[in-house]
Amino acid sequence: MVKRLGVGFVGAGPVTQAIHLPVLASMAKRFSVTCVMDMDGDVATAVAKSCGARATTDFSSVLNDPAVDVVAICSPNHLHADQVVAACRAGKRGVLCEKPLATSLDDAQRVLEAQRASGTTVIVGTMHSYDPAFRASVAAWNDLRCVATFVRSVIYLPDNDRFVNLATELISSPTSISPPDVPSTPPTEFARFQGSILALAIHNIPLVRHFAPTVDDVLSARALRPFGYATTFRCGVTTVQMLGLLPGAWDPNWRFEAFAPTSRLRVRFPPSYVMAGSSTAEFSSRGSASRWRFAINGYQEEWSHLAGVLDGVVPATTLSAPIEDLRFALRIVELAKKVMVPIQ
Amino acid sequence: VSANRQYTVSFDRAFPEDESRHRQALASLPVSFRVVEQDHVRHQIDAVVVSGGAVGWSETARLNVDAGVRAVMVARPEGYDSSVAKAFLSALSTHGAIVAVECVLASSLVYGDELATLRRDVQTALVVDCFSVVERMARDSEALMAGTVVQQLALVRSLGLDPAMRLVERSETNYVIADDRREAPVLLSGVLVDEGEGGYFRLDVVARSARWRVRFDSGNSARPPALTRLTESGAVSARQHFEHPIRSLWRELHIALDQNQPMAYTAADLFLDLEIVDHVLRR
Repeated sequence: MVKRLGVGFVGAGPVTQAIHLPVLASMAKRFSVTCVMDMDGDVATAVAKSCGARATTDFSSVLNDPAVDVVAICSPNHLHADQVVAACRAGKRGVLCEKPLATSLDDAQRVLEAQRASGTTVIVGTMHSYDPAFRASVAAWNDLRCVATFVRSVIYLPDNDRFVNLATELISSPTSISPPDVPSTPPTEFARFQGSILALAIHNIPLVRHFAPTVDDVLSARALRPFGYATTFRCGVTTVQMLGLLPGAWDPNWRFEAFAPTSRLRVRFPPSYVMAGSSTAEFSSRGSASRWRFAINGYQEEWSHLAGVLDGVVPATTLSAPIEDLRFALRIVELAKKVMVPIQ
Repeated sequence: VSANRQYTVSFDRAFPEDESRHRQALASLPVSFRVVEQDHVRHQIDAVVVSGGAVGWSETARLNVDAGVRAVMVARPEGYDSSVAKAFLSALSTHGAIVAVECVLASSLVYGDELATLRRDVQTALVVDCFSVVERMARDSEALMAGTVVQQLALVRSLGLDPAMRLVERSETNYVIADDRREAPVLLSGVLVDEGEGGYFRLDVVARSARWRVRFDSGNSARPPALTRLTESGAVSARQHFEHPIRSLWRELHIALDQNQPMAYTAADLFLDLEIVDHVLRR
């Protein structure tokens, strides 16, 4: 029998509690949660207790724990790179890092060097790129060697609480509640755009890159209120339109589409926080259509993939895809500077 | 359907496919309209159908109005000549004639029923996103795109918006145009696909507390659009009425003729939109 992989969580917020812990509970033969670290000691203790793990507020304690084979990094984005590097240097077998891998290419390069030096398997939690229905539809697209002329990514989401509260009994402490907004210098339009690309658009960038691998030219870019973006860019013969907006007080709409003159791919994703299975993906070409939907979702697939790599039954993945995702996102942001227009 | 008066309708050099579409709609309104042949005495014709894709259609329309025709139905408008357009608008004003424009999306009965609520939500919109997939149907790409943008602009105008559009991107197969200087941007995009791949129009109006999802099929069908208003308390879909939008449009024209009132989408709107199309797609 294969030894179960011990998982240590860094960050015990809603993503850990509502997504990763239920997923790992469904894969209990392969993973056991051994350690939960959070800056808030009460949260760490309560979450660790819920899954029979040890609690800590000390990141190095996770790294030094021999029972931790895999570090799951679910902390704020700006901490990801340093924490992945530290996990690699600590000799951990695997790291699952929530997206984005880093917030700059220099940081991503540091991660890559640390990963290569240690041989640690590092995967980034781009769950939709692991979605089995999306993957099946892309394979059908690739079989016909279709070239996309137009790609559309639309994400309209309500407040995450709508789903978190249906996926877990969220543990938080009064001290972990964010303070009320205090008047400060409002972020610029560009800062809003940049923030929404790195936090929201990044979810669909791995999908977009299947059809448009680079960003040649950004043609329009707008921040949307309260939080979001609207941008159009070009990659060779492909035009890409990306829209994202949250939070609204309505049902979610998470859609991805690609068009070629004789083919079309359409994917609708369910909300991320609940175990609603895969997306529904449809591929049609010259009058015939195929449709995919699976019981498991992208999060389950990404953990399965990590286990498979560590067990040696699936080939190791490199960090090139998540680094290219980041490069792609940063390129949109960089080129957007030239085309952003003042709002009247 | 009002039975107050029956109006005569003729076709003036309309494309066969346009004539076929409108004859079909008129056959479903036998009390309100009667089709007469083109050689009928012009002053006895109440309404004339012209093809908006034909070169010089607005001059054809003007000649009819000058000859006493009370209404012009512009089938599938796709292009215009600004100098002739002015003469046509002037003739309309002089004679008090009415123009109906085949904007099949905006003239849908189901859409019209929901428009008041939709317009209220648009006042708090965060983004207005209109996307169309259009089958080529062996037609000129430029004319198809122009016609599609006119349909989208008519929809946007029906929401009470007066957008200042600019071209973001255009290729042989797709376009993106936008009014992205306003707080809630208006985005119109479209992609051309081969015949048989299926076309549709989508309109998403996203506000903080209500999101509208509007789905039209290709437009030339009695299949009603699906309008859904999503809010915190759930989703409400509009009642389905299976009336062909061109029939709805002719009914609206009948009322306009009876009561001597303008159509919801006017000739001035049309020329404004054709000018936008000309400016952003044909530069």
